[in-house]
Amino acid sequence: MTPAIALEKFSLRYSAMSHWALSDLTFQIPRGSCCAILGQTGAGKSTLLHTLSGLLGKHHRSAESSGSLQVMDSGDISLPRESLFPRVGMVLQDPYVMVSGLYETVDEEISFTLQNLNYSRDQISHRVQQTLATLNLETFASRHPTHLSGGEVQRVALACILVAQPDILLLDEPRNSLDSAGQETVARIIKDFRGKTTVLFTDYQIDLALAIADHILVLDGGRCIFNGNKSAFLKHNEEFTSILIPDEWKDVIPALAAPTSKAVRNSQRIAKLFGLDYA
Amino acid sequence: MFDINNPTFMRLDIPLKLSLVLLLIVSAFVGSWQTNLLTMLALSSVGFILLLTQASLVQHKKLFLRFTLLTILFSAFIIILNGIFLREGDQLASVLSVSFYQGGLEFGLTTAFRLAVISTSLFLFFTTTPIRELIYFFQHVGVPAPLVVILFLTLHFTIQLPLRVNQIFTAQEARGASVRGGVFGRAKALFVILFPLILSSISETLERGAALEARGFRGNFSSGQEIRYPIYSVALAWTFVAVAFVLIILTILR
Repeated sequence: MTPAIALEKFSLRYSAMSHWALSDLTFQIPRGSCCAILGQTGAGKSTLLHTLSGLLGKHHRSAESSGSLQVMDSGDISLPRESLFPRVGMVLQDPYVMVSGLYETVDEEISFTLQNLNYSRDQISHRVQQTLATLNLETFASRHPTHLSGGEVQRVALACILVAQPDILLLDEPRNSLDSAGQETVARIIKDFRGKTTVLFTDYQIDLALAIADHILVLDGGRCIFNGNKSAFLKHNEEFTSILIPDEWKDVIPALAAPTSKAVRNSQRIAKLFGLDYA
Repeated sequence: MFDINNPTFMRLDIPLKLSLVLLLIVSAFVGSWQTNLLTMLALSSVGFILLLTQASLVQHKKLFLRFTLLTILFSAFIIILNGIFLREGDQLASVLSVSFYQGGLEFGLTTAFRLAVISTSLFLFFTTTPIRELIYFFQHVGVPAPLVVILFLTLHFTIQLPLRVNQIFTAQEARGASVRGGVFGRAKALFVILFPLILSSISETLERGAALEARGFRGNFSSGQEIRYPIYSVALAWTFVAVAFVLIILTILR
């Protein structure tokens, strides 16, 4: 089976005059897996998600790319110039902008996505109810979409995309500005999709990635400095993870072999990336 | 008979409301200041009755009160300034050695009440019309999709503006700036926040456009049902438009 996403030496810049925002990226994301993309602000996380959704290529006509990019069975499309929705669904960083402002109830707001895709009224009603149930939003169905808390709006934003049942779900910093309860809810929702939908999410901390991701990418200045599964991440970056992860996680980390010199260099680089002292 | 508790009284069809606004704007330009004053008083009364009696508009009550107060202050400001600086006609009065002239006062009254009628009618239109219905209407009458999207994003931006200003004011206050102290303090602070306000609003509008596309929006808003306006409503709307044109032509020929 072809991977959900495959990049081969993929580079991107916004124009011929600008620097490469993404540089030499090579990785594959298997179908149904959950991938965390980590990195500081400006590392290229959002650029990568916008590229994969097709929105970047559409809005930045002067953008140039090299290498190859494949999304599902698209073949080599280098840089998608049209939105790939509904096959690829993306929830933007600010969930409030995902709410159109056209509707007065959450269920109407969610149905707007399917209206755009020309679904029949019966199909819309069925899908909306299904999505509300999946995200535990039934009690909010008749509430005003803009009169909700941050965590609730985040779930509504997610519902607005999930209702179209995309093959790939892209989440740009999904727990941004959420309290701990909201973060837990979002983590649980992402976890529930593992195996069914390919999920890529960006974040600037590693705890969520360690909790739910199968695959981890770390970006720095548009380059990929780590690409692998969770155990490889832990093995190669023991010192780094022991600094970053919360105390309650430290007990569950297995004792790891002594890091190689390459792993130490990598750990130093990642620690520097997150502004930490590497001992 | 109009029943004030019947929502249909408030929910006039959009073509009817738009044509009424057009007629009011035209009459504001062609009418005397006395006519405009009476129109403004009538509009304000309708506004107060609607906003104080309709539960769905209750959130606009405070806004309308503030709007009315500002309109009165602004009108008085324009009238006084014109009365002082436009030295035409007879000198009517002198207060603390400041003279008021008849021509200036009349010009001030005309300008002030004209602006008041236009702004009040637009205010009432937008507070009683959900964006969704307006967007469907534009699409229904065949306005091109890209233009409808631009209108939608602009309306959204306009509605969000007071909220955004308030957020930035609060942020400035948190930094110790005095931004809510009186009219002059606010005016000064407004000047300072203008740049971040414009930047953040442009950025949010672009984000919202991207979010619409991320949800499969291709430029066509759909209400899910065919829009039909009652024949009497359309006929009345066309009558208002016709009267507005007649007023314009009569004014040109006069």
